[in-house]
Amino acid sequence: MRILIIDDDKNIVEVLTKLLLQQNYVVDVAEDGEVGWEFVESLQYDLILLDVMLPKLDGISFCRRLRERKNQALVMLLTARDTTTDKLIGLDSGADDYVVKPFNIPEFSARIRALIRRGSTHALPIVTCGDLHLDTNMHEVAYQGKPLKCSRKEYLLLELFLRNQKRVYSCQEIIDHLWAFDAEPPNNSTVRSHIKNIRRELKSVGADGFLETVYGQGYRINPLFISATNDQKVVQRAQNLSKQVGKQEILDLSVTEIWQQTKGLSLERLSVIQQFLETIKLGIFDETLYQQTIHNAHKLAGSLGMFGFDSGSTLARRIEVLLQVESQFLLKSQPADSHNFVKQLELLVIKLSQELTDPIKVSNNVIVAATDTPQLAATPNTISAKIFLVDHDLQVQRTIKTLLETLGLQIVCLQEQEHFWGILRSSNPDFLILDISMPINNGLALCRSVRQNPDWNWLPILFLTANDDFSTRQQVFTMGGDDYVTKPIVVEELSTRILNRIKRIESIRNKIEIPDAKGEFKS
Amino acid sequence: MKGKRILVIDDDEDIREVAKLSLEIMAGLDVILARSSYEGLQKALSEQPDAILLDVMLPDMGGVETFQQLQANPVTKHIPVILLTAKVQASDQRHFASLGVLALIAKPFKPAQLAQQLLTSLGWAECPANLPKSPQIFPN
Repeated sequence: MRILIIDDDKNIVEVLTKLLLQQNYVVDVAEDGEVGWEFVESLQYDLILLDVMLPKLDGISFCRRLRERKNQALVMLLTARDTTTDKLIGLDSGADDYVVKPFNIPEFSARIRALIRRGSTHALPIVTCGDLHLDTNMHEVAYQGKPLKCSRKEYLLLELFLRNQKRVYSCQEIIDHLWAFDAEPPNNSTVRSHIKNIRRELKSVGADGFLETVYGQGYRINPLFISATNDQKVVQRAQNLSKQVGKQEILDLSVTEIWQQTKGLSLERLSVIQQFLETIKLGIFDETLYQQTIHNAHKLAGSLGMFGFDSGSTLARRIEVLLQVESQFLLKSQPADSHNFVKQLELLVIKLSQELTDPIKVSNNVIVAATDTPQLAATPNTISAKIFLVDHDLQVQRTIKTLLETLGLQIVCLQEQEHFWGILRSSNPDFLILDISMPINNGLALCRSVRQNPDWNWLPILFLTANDDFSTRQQVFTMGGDDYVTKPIVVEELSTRILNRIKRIESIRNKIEIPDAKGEFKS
Repeated sequence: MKGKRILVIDDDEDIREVAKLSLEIMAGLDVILARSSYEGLQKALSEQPDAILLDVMLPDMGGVETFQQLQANPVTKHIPVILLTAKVQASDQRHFASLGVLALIAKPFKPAQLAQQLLTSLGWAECPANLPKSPQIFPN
C-alpha cells in the first residue's frame, strides 16, 4: 500500500511517516500542493493524506483537480478547521474522510485502515493464497502454519503479490509500488535479490515454486498455488514446473548473449547474398560467388531459427531453394534476362535483411522464442482502442504498428511532430506513445504541452526511451508521462503495459460512469 | 544426466555454442566441442564420449564421411551418432537415416528442445507426447 502525505508541517509529517512506516506502508512526502501534484501524476497511490492549508495549491483545490482528472486515490483531509461547513466543503471536493488536528494516533490509524478497506475489497487484514497466510495486523506470513522470516521489503513484496494474485509484476513495477519516491531507487538486481530470498524462505517451508517467473514480463504467484490445498501432487507439479521454467529462462538469456556475440557472422552471410544480388542485377554472374551465396543461405537457414528468427530461417531457405532451382538457367544462360528471378530474389533478400536488422526483433529474439512456452500464450485482447505513436524511426513505427494491430488495436503513426496537434485532434486517440529523443523538439517537451492542454491532459502517455537511468525516469514522470519502456523494446512488455493501462482507464470509466474522451457514456 | 558426455561437431560457432548451452542447462550433460571433422575424429578417439552430435555439412570431409570413419574404427564404432542437418527434403532424410545413424535432428533446432530430442533418441529419457517416437527424425 502506497501513501502520499502532503503537508507543510514538518512535525506532523515526521510523526505520520514514522507511524505509517511502522505499519508497513510505503510513504512519500510532499511539502506543498504543487510538489504533491507532481507525485500523483507520477505514481499511483492507494491513499493521500492531504493538509487543507497548503502552500502553492491548497488541499481543497488539489482534491477537486484530482477528481476532475479521474484519479480515484482515496483522500483523507487533515485540517485544524472543524466547522460543519468546512467539513462539507472538504468532502464535497471529493475527499473520502476528514480528520481534525490534533488527532488521536490510535484513532487515526484505525481510520486509515477502515478507509483502505472501504476503498478496496481486497484490503482485508488477513490475506490468503492457498496455504499461505499474511496477517497485516501482526505483520506475519506463514505457509501451512510454518512462519516465514522476511525483511520488511520482502514482507511488502509478498503482500503486493497476495493482494494481486493473478497479476504479473515487472521489477520496475515492484520498485514503483514498494520504494518511496525520495529514496534512491534500487536497480532491478535488488528486486531480484529480494525475490531470491523470498523463494528460499518459501522453499524452506515447503512452498517451492510459489513465485514464478513469467519470462519477459516479471513475476507472479504460480497459478497452481492460488487454488492449491494440501494436495502434494499439485505442489510437486508446481515445483517441477518452476525448475523447468528457471532452466528455460537461463537458456533463453544465454542464447541471447550468444546471438549478440555471433550476429556479425549472420550479417556477413547476409552481405554475401546481397552482393550476389547486386552483381546479378548488373548482369554479371560469378559462379564462385553463386556457390558462396547458396552456402551462406543454407547456413542462415540452419541457424536463424535457433535464435528465434523463424521467418529468417524460412526466407534463407527460400533463397537457397530459389538459387538451386535456377542453377541450370544461371550457369548456362544470361541471368539478367530473367526479370522474375531477380525480382523474386530481391524481394526475399529485402525481407531477410529487414528481419535481421529490425531493432526490435533483433534485440528480442528470445522473446519470440519464449512465446513457445505455454504461460506466454497471448491472451485474447477484447479491448478496442486507438493508439497514436510518434517516433521518427520508421522501422520502430512499422514493428509496433504490426504488433498492436495483431492485438486488434488501431494505430496512427507520425514521424514528424509538425502535424502533431492536427493529427491528434482528427484521430482522437485513447493512448499516446512518444519517442523521448526526437529531432527538433523532444518527446518530453511534447508531453508537457499535452499535459498543459485542457482538452488532452487526460491522455495516457507512454515513452519509448533508450536510457533507463534515474534522471530519465524522473524526467518522464515529471513531465507528465504515465509509463515508459526502454529500447530495445521487449514486445511482450510493451503490449502488456499498453493493454493494462487501457484496461485500467476502462474500469475507472465503468466504475464511476463518466463519459469517455469522446463524450460518450459506457452502457 | 550428470556424467554423460556428448561430443558436438559443427563448424558454425553459434550452433556449437547454443547446442552446448542447451545440453548443459536443460539436461546437465557434459559437452565437448569440435569445429571440424578432423578435430571431431580426434576427440572421439581421445575422449570416448557417450554420444556424438554431428553436423552434416562440415567443410573438410563432411558429416557422412566422418560418420563412416567413426563406424570403421573399432574404438569409436560403438558410440551412437545423431546427425544435425539443415537438409529438410524427405529423400535426404531417408538417405541419412539409412546410413545407420541413431537419429536426425533438423536445423534450425529449438534450443529448449534439443536436449530432450537427444535424450529421447539415446533412450535416456521417455519420449514426450509431442515428440515423434519413430522414426527418430526430429523436424524443426
